[in-house]
Amino acid sequence: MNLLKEFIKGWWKENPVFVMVLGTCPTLAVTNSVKNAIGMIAAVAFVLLGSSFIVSLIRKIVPNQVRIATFIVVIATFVTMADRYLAAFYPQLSKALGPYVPLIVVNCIILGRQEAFASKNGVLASVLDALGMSIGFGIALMLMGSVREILGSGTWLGMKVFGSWYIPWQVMILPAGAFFVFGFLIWGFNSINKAFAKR
Amino acid sequence: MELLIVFISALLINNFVLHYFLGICPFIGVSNRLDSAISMGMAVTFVMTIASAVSWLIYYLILVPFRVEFLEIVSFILVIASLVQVVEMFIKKASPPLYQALGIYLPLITTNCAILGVALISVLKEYSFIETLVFSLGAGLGFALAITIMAGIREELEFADVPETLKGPGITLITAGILALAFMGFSGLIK
Amino acid sequence: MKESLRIVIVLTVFSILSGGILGWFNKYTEKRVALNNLTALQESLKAVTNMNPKIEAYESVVKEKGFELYKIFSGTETVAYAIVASGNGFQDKIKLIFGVKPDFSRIIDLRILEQKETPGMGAKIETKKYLEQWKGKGADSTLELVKKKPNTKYQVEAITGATVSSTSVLNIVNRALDRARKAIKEAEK
Repeated sequence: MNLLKEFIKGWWKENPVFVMVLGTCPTLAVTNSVKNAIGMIAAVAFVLLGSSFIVSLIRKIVPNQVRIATFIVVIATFVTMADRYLAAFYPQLSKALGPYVPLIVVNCIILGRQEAFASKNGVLASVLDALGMSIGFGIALMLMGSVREILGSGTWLGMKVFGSWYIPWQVMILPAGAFFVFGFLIWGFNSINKAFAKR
Repeated sequence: MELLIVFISALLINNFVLHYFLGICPFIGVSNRLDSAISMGMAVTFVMTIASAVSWLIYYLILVPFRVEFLEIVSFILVIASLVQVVEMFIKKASPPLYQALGIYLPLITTNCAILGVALISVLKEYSFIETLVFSLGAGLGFALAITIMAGIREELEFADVPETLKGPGITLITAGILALAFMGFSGLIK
Repeated sequence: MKESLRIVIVLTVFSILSGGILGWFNKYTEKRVALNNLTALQESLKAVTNMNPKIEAYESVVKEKGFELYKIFSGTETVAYAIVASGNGFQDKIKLIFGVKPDFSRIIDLRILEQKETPGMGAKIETKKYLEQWKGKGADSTLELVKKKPNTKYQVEAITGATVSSTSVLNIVNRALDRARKAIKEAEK
């Protein structure tokens, strides 16, 4: 039961993006289309799962003073693997994501989970926590990507959503649109959470 | 001329916060007061310029000759993390007043994606050493500019009647969106 | 003392492990990345020089920052040149490739490789309608931008609402043509 809680908390209640406002940089930068968002989710999930697994394994042999340095090396290794893999097998996606794949290394969600959870818990709990957080991150990015692509290009994952009468709100795929959508989604999340808390 | 273009482009047109979305965490977190925003901006500019210079040297003098470019991410992040510590110790010794002003912001900078971002983008754009310096200076000042404007706006916003659930990150992001729209006016400066 | 020894050992072991894993992983992906880049180049060379079904042979004549010149062969005969060039656009760098006849009489075709112009405005430089008009433009003189239907083969029509992006593309092409003509003269000497 406890393990289930670790798994589910990241989806909504402790959603890393909307509630904790972490990992904002990829949330804003790569959500101009659903396809880019999916690529980013996959990369982050891989890095987060991999590092949480390794960190929870080695947590007892790493001296406290160099804890963070070791975690960063572990994370950077997984990030490089994800980056090289995308460049080799999905060159177009890799180009579209650009520097944002290497930048996963400083994504606060990843180091944050290692510090707050994986360095203190066992392997199973850590992996479940990482999986839950990845799903939470995924929900957030898919929401952002869907809203921005549907409004900004009139498509979803490249498929036409509206007829030809629709004039896309191009501002949505511009940087400004990213800020607007993110701001309004946070507002929505907080309002829903508050409404539930009242009951 | 080319250098001026690189500088203006990093400062205004492709502003690090409003165009590349780098350094959003401090942009949201430290922008509630004007004086701390200015200090943060200065600290970032300072570390950014040094970090990108050192990263450039490491990339072109060590990684490229030994054909181990794939260690780029690992080495850059380690360099930045240790550099921040060295800079912190150095400022503490050399200039206590400056340390007083910037001190608490320096540790926060390690996880600031803008610093790593500048180093990575300089390599991606194949900038020369001088271009990298100018680019990172422009990017740092661009960050300082954005966070200062934001803090100015937020100090006024405190007196506004913002819905309870929109306060904090929500309203800051929407304000940033309007700022990003305003910064779009700078596009085309460099054609 | 014992504690600091442990720190050094742990850090060293993890750094070596990380380097080793990445080195091994890189060996697998490196070739693939190189192949991707090569295929992408060949595809765009083919597209802008109208060579079907594929390019027989090509060689790189000049390769410098912001300018690359390729010579395309059929047998031993030069059938076209292809030029990759980049310059500043409205928002960021614009990178493009175009093919020209070996005597520089006209441009064969033009494609945009990279651009970050405003969607719906400057980004229209990637539309077929705009790119189509580049076919057959003169490559032996400087091209000029016009805001109406072009009269001569040295005029290029601007996109309404995106004059800056249109001008950027034109400038990149003009500069690249200049540079290419010089480079070929030098090579012939």
